[in-house]
Formats: sequence, structure tokens, C-alpha cells
Amino acid sequence: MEETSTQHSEDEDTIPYSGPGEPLEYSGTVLWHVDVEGERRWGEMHTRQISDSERCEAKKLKTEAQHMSTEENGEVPSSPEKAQLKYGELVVLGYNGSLPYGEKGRRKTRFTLFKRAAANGVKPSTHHIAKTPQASKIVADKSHHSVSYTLSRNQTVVVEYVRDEDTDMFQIGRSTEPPIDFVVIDTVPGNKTAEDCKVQQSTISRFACRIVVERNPTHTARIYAAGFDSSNNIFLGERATKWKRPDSSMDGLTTNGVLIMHPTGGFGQECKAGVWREVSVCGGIYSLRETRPNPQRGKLIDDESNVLHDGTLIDLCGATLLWRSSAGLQKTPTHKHIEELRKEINAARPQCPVGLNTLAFPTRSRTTKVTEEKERQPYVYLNCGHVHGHHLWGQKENENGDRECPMCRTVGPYVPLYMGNEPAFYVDCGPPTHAFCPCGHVCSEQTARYWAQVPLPHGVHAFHAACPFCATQLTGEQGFIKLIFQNDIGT
Amino acid sequence: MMASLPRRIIKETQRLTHEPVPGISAIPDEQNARYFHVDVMGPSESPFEGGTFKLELFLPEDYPMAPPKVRFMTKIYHPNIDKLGRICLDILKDKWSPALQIRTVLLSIQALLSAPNPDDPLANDVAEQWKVNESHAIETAKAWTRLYAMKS
Repeated sequence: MEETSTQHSEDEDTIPYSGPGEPLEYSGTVLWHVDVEGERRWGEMHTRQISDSERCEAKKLKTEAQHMSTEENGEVPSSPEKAQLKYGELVVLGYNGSLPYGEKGRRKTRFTLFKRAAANGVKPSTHHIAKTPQASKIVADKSHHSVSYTLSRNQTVVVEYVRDEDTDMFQIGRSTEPPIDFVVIDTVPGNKTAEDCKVQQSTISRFACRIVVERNPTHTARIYAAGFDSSNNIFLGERATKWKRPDSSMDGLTTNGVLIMHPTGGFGQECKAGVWREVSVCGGIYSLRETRPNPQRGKLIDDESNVLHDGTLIDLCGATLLWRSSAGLQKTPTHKHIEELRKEINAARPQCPVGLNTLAFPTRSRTTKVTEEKERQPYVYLNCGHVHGHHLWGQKENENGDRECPMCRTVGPYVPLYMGNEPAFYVDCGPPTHAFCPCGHVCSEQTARYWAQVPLPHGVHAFHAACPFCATQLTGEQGFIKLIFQNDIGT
Repeated sequence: MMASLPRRIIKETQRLTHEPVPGISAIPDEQNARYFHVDVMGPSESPFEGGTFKLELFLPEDYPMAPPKVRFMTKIYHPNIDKLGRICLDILKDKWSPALQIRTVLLSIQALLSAPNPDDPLANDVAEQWKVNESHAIETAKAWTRLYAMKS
């Protein structure tokens, strides 16, 4: 890996949010420092080792969580007695209501965007040309926001961003530095324990994206690729994808890109998956690149916008977020609803056709390993949907550990069923009658149908449908199964 | 005795007692709760109509993972039931499933009386008769029913 000059010889050196090889030093001023040893610069997928400095950051975050006042959290306006205006919520796909390693500070599975006590939005203003980003006063001045587009070694366009009293800005990324409101780390499919969640490499940018919300009704929320770093700068290096727009202003893409997908028909019973697009630094919508870090940008899609709708998915390459608008959340079930549905299903006393014992969906905390609860744990035969308790009959000699269903003799996987507890993923308040394959997360029929047809970005250019509650790739013909319960008819 | 029984057997027994299957009675033995005294009424419009057939049913240790053992005690002229009362029925062998129960097994046996299957015989001589001269075979079955299954 040749290290030429210290200055933006590579994109990674100049784009703070590009994933691998984070920025290092600028004219002797250390913006931040990350260990880049052993990193691939341009690979199929830009990944990076989690460095020691980041582990320190994680520790810092922990302490911060203990000391941080809610106000600093950016969630509660300074006058708590005032009713908080909620813009919406971002929920990370692949978690069932909580992080397996506990919710700490700004790192959690859901982030609520409240109207801020004072506006902190910024908007593009004038631009000028500098020899290097460091040569620009605006870039050097930490109190000013700027986006630098390095065109060549000695030409950089610096766009100054000025305060916008009409908007609030929220930043999302892997970094635990103060400008990040919502810290997001890579999602591990099927994660259950803290151990499962340890990611050695991350593809999420430290300053991945920003959401700017209008403070006045209708509180329109817009998403932009890249976030401002601790010095309020965004750098697009020499090798970053960037271009001059017809109005001669600059725009660009981040290394792995920020992808969005607006569902059609609104997030509800009728919704269908939309088309994935890429959003640029200035909020333009483009068709997807051939692969995520491909330097060739997609086609401009000028009839689509970066305005977030209820149900819009935001993919940061490593984690996917679901945007739920304030209005959308009103229609969504609450934890209490889901708990009621769980109780209802248990009240019908479903029975294991083999043990003839009553089954019951366990309460939310999976940690309770009470024997009785274990005996009552419902299981499903994924290829037919028959619900049973735990027993050992019908084990097949194949490596998948398939079982023969005692009810209909269909052979297939046999897995425990768990409630899908994250209400934001529900498209309606229907009863929990369907389960995702192969993970066994239970939700309403329409919810299962919706997520089973949503392709989620996976790796550099692949897409696959996944369970929203655990991120496991869906299998089987449909990706879900209708549950067939045997109710207690006897005694 | 009942206390050491699996919940499943207790529940099945309770249900057989409280909601008996029409035309079938199954009563657990006083000494052994895994052993049932069974009476099956001959189905109407079959050669066995009017007869009451005694069977014994035993739930082995690994029940319901393994099928119950069932045998006719009453002599019967049927191509799928031999001289010793053994029954040729797939669900009692390789087609057993733990989702089946005592009541479903007995219903299947009752159905077998309505629909003898001479192509899958256990009693070869009876099956042969059934194929060669069905009306004669049915007469014999009726006669045996009167003779062995109608003792008052």
C-alpha cells in the first residue's frame, strides 16, 4: 500500500465517511486518527478492522452513557415540561426491540428525532476554489460547516454551509464522536447475544448520513449522504465520485453510498417494496451503481426525491434503518398491543398435538430459562406451519436436522417461535399468525408478506429479503409460513 | 399408578372417558393404566354390523413415539386381521405418527371393518375368498359375527 504524501492521496484519506482508511492528517492538524494498518484501500467491498482507538471510543461511549444527560442526547428539548414534538423514528433492522448487548447512550436500536430546542440545520451557501481543503479558511474554521470537493491535487471546491434557522439536523454514523446523534454499528444476522454482535470489520461510514427536518409543518425530513465531522467538515477526496451539476454546483457520492427505498402505497397493509436508489451528498437521487463502491455514478432520477416517507428504508452498507414518521407511528401497534396479541394467542391455549400440553409464547425477555416456560415453548415445522411443542420425533438423518411433521409428514426444518416484538416493523395490527422462515419470528400476515418481498442490500451488489426482527436471510418458497395451531379441544 | 403416567396418556384417557367415540369404548385396566379394554361396534352396512368386537390395546413405554399395540380378542373373518387377532394397518407400523392418538387408531380400525382391503392381506385364505367369491366371504363374515361377536 503506497503512502504518498500525507494529503488526500487516496479518497479514504480525504473522505471522512468513506469506510476504510479514514482520514488521517491535514496540514499537520489531526482531525482524528484511526489506525489504518492492514486495511484494504480499494477492494470489492471496503471493510476495515476495528482499531484499538475505536475500542477506546466504545469504552468512552459507555462512560458517556452513564454521564450523559438526556439533553445532550439530543432527544429532549431544554424545557422538558413542553410537549416534545416528534418528527419520527429511525429503527435499525435486525433487532427485536433491543440490542443484545444492552442499549447505551446514542447506541441503540431506535432513535427518536425530536424537534430541537434550537435549530441546528445548515444549508449550502457560497462556494470558492482553494488549492487544497486545508488552504481554505472555511475548512480550517471549526465553527463553519463546509463540504470540500477535491478535483485535483491543487484544486478543491469548498462549499460553505450556513446556519439554517428553519431546519434541525440529525447525523447518523459509526463514529461515537459528538456530531453523531445516532451511532449505528454493523448488524449481524440472527444475533442473539452480545458475543454474536462482535464485528471485526465494518463497512459503515463513521459519518454516514444526515437527516435535515423542517422545523415548521409539515416537518419534511430529507436525507443526504455523508455527515459533518467534529470539525464540521465533509471531505470528498480526489478519488471520490463527484461531478459538476448543470447549475455548476458540485455533488458527490460516498464510498459505499447511502441507499434509500420508498415503499409504494404507504407503509401499511397495501404497501409494496419500491426501487432502491442512491442519495448523493446534496440529496440528489440516482440509480444504483454497479457495485457499491463503484466510481461510476448511476443515472439521475429527477422525479424522485430524498424526502423521507413513512416506511422509507435507509441502507448504510452494514445496517439498514427504517424511517417511521410521526403520523405513521400513530397507526402502528405499540409494545402493549403486541403484548396483548401474545396474551390472546396464549389464551386460546394452543396445544402440542404430540405432548397434548398447552403451549405459550414466552414473555419478551428471553433470558428467563424457566423449565416450565421451556416446556411450553412453541415450535413450528417450517414447511407446513404446524405448531408443536418440543419433542424428538421424526428426526431425519440429513445434515440440516430436518424433521418430519407428525401432522402431515412434510419434512423440513423445525424451529422455536418467538414474537416479533419491534412494533415499528408491523405494517398493521393484525394477529400474529405468520412466521418468517427460517428464524421463526412471528408477526401479522401482512407484515410477513411485506418484508418477504422487500429486497435488502447485502454486500456489494446483492439483495435479499430478510427477517426485520433478526436480519436472517429468508428461505423457502415465500419466506414465511402461516401457522397452524391445534387448539385445546380435549378435557 | 396414574401419577407416574405421562401427561399425554392421562389426557387421552380422560378424553376417551368424557367424550367417548360413538361405537367405541376404551377403558383402562384397573391394574395397568397403559392397558385398555376396548369394544368396537361393527359398523352399519358392513358384514360386522350388530357385532361387538373386543380388542386389547397396550401403550408401550415409548408411546407416543412408538405406536400402541392393538389386537382383536374376538374372532373375526376379515382379510386384514389374522387368526391371532393381529391387525394389518399401516398406522400401527411404519406410518405411525405421534400426532395420532388412541381414539384415531380405534377409528381407523373401525374404518377397516367397513372397508376390507384384500389386496394387502394378513389372513391369506380370507383374502383369497374375498377376491374369488366376495358374496360368500361376506356371508361367512356375517356368520362369524353372529357366532362370536353377538354373545349376550
